Amino acid sequence: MDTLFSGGMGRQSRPAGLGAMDIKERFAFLDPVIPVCVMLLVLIGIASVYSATYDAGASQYFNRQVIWASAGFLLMVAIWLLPFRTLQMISYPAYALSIVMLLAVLVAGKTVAGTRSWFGIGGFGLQPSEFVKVTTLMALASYLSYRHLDRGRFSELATTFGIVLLPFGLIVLQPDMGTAVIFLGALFMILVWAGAPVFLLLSIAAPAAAAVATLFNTTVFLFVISSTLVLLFVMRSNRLLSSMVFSLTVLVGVSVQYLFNQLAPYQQKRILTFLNPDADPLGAGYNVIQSKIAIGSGGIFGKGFLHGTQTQLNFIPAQWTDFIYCVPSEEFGFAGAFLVLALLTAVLLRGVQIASTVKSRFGSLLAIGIVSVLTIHVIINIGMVMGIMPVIGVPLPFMSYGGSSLLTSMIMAGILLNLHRNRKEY
Amino acid sequence: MRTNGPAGASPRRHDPNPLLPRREFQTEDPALNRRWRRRLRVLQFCLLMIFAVICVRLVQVQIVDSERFRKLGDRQYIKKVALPATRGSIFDRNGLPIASHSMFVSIAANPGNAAPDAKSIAAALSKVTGEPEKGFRAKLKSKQAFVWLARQVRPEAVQTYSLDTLRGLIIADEPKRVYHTGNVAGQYIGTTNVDNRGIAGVELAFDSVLSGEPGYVVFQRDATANLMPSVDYPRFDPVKGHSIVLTMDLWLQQVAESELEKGVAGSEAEGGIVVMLEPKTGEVLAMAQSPRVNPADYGKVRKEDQKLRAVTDMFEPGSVFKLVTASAALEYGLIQPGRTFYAENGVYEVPVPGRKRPRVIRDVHKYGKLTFQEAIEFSSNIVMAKASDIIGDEKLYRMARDFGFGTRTNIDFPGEIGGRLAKPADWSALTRQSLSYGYEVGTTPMQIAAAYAALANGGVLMRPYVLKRELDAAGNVVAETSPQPVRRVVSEETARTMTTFLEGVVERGTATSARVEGVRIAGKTGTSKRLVNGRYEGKDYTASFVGYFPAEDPRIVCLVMLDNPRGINYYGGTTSAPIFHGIVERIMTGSERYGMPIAELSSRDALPPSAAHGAGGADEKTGANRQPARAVKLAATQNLPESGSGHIVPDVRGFSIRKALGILRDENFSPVVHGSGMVVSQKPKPGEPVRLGTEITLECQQKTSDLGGTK
Repeated sequence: MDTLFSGGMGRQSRPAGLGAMDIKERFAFLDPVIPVCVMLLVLIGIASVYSATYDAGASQYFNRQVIWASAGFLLMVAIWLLPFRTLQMISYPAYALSIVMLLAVLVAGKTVAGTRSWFGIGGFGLQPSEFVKVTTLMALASYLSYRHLDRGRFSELATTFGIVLLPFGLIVLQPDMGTAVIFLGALFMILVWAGAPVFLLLSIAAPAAAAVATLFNTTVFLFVISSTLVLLFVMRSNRLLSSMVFSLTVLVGVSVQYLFNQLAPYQQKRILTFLNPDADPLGAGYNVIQSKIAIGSGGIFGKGFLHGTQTQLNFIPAQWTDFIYCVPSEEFGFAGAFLVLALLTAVLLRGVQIASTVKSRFGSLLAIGIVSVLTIHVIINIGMVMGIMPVIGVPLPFMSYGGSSLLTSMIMAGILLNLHRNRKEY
Repeated sequence: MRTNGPAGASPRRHDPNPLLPRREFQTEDPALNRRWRRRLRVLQFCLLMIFAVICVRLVQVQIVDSERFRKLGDRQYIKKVALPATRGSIFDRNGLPIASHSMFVSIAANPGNAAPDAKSIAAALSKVTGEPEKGFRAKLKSKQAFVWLARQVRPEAVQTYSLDTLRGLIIADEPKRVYHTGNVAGQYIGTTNVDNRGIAGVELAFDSVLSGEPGYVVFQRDATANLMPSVDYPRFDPVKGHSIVLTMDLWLQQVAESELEKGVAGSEAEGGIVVMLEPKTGEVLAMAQSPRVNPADYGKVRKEDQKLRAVTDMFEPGSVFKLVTASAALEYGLIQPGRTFYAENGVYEVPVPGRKRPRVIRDVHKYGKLTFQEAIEFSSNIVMAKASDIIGDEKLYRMARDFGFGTRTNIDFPGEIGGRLAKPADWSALTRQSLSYGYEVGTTPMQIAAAYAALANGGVLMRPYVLKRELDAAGNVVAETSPQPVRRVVSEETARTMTTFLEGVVERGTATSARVEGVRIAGKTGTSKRLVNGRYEGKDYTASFVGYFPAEDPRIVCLVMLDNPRGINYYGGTTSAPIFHGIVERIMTGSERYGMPIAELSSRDALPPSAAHGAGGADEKTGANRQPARAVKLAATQNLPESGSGHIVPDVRGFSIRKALGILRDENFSPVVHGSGMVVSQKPKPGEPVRLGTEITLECQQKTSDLGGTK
């Protein structure tokens, strides 16, 4: 029982109940919340793509999104029905395959808007960086499922970081900052869930916080530095290590200005525009201002489907991808925006619940990884659309136009369903 | 290393083998179960917090600040396109149209969209405008998104050349002001700018009445600036401007202008002004100015000629100002008409305190003894100066002030000036005597005319005015100006005596050339040297005559003023008085009967337009040798009710074919001509409401003596 990969034959629990049982048992086989919410989100997404690209009839975008959604649905069902252990067994090969794809896209990919992240296959584009999110989570969960980070073994820590930093590095090279940020966020969440020592978490979080803080102003930066110092003092850890962490924090904070200068001009602009969108209303701040107008002018019940003036008059460039949230917000107002947000939150809460009920450590880590990735997507995307986060092109899961993103989201939903179905396996 | 917090459950206690998976996932241990539940709760709480933060933001943006964002949005995608209001018409007192509104179209193009049809567009517009195709083709090759191709062309052109079927053309309705009277009363009527707003004359003075309220339609503009009509917003139709009826009598105006032109040419003057008032009411009957200006070419003439000089320019009046001196002398009982003065044989030396050389006052002719009345009749400066010594500063000043000098008449024109009249406290030792014969005072022609009108009106000064009534778009009277007395200046007796004096001026004195057989005329000449570069030397004079008739019951006051007559004669009596004579004679003969036009003025005012036309028609029957200008009287008085629904056929009977065609085309009718010569009848009849563009058949005959016979 306690040996590795022993669960394959360990199906002691009976197959999920199909007989006359209580309601909890009836849904033992299929979690009801995730499929319902995901399908609703996908349908709202398709309708939004229809509206955003509407021009006297349905557009190519709409047709393609319907095809992707159908494929995604089939994929979701297939993954849901995969036998226990299959996911864990394929995690390393899948990870390896996706890394190869990332390398290949750097060499042979199409460049779109300054980013080399696309494979053209027939009429469809494919973004390996989306799928790598899933395979990395799987590899990470697989690796950590039988290791304990709290023993502080350097080789284990290094491997853990390496699993994430390899695809992270390749994606930074594309360059695609938005996706890269998600890897770091997910890594942190998994480390927390896997029981990594607090000192380790602090030594990761403090420099990151310092880096972000310098972009605002000195006061915020000094606040981060001083809180780090207080926390280190409270922990009373190894003095050498503590002072190393502290100097790292200060160093990162100070060198961020240098790193900032290394960013592509459009990324610099986006960060600065985030701090003050009105400074450049026709340039980099344009999208945010237009999307805020769209959301704000929606009011409580919106302007009606296909009647959103911001949407129909094309004031938000490429709205069907990263700014899709404007469409329900404008055309159905607060009601629409709230519904979408509630559905997303329901999926995430359900994911957390699955992560804590699944008996296998691999499953738990993978579930929490998926929840982290989806959560970061939602926060960055909606935050960006509403002007409380910088514009760093991240799609909204289940809704944004784009096959790779939609398929990846639905694969994640399928994995959550699979883990739920096999939650009693150990 | 310590492992605190929810993440750091210490496994060693339960699972001694660190290589094996931890056992937290098992549920046998209640303590661990609690710990897991706590971790679950923390995560759920975090997610709900994120959800809550975003919700708060949504509430703020979508509910609290919604209005602000809606306005921001509206501002960028809503484009209001103004619908120009129909500008009201201007009529003379008898309802003759002077200025009216007409809709034309202007044609523009988006060269990008027009490319496939560029050739046909150029060909069609070349036919419409008569300009070569080349120019249009060049414009259509422009990289701009919008180019004007032809402004203000006739709307029929759109159908004739099916311009509306050509791609890329933008056809916009554009109102255009049409002036029916050519260069008659140019400065008086003024003109409008391209935005259809009044910029001069009556058009400016009553712009707020005439212009109406423009309406608008709302278009939506997308992010690439394409416009499309919006169904979400109502269309606001423009409110038509009101029409105005002037106190002007177009016929008198034409008489005044033609006589003035003649007189200006004869005396080789640089220009001239005629002002005619109705003394009993203060109504301005005519304001002629030479050189003339056509409202359509307003921008092309000198600045000086754009002004309505009768109210905007000041000049030293000279002898016409003697009415103040004489009135003061009589009103205060200081001088009897028969009192004799020694006129010093034309040269009067007055010692000036503090100066070595005395002041010299001269008369044109040498007189010995003159009665006060004779001094007025022969315009003796010397006697006036002596009289002013008797009257004294204060009384002379008060009389000038009471006649309205030094203050605006408050006629309706913007830009009117009040002239210059110093207070006695500011006078020099010479001022009183200078003032007595019209120097050291600045007056406008309108002030002089109004002052004489006060005498003609039995001593009561009336406010001169030009707006008789205001009509709404349906032709209903919405406002009517009533005559406004300003003050009694002199007693009726003084006014009567003054009239006797002024009759003597015309009968025996300096203005015998103003005399007209069969009508008693009271008047006064004036010739004043102009101050050029601070000196009165040189040959620059203002020659004027102002008079009223019939003296026993004055109906018209008429002022004639010439600038710098360069001929042999430069006196008011020899240059301006003959113009006055010509005007009065035309009024007399033009109306066949004594006083007729004036009686007409009063009686026809009260009648509705159609009745007024009847009166005019009756008048026509009696006439054989009418003035050409008189024919204008025939033109549609029925134009008055500009009904909102249809168009009214104008009356073009009595016009030459060319003129009739001009009027009908300006008002967008399609005339068909039978015969030649003058229009004797038309079908549909004048005053009938018809659709725009209706065919109007004109029957014409060579000019005969009796136009009235067509009725």
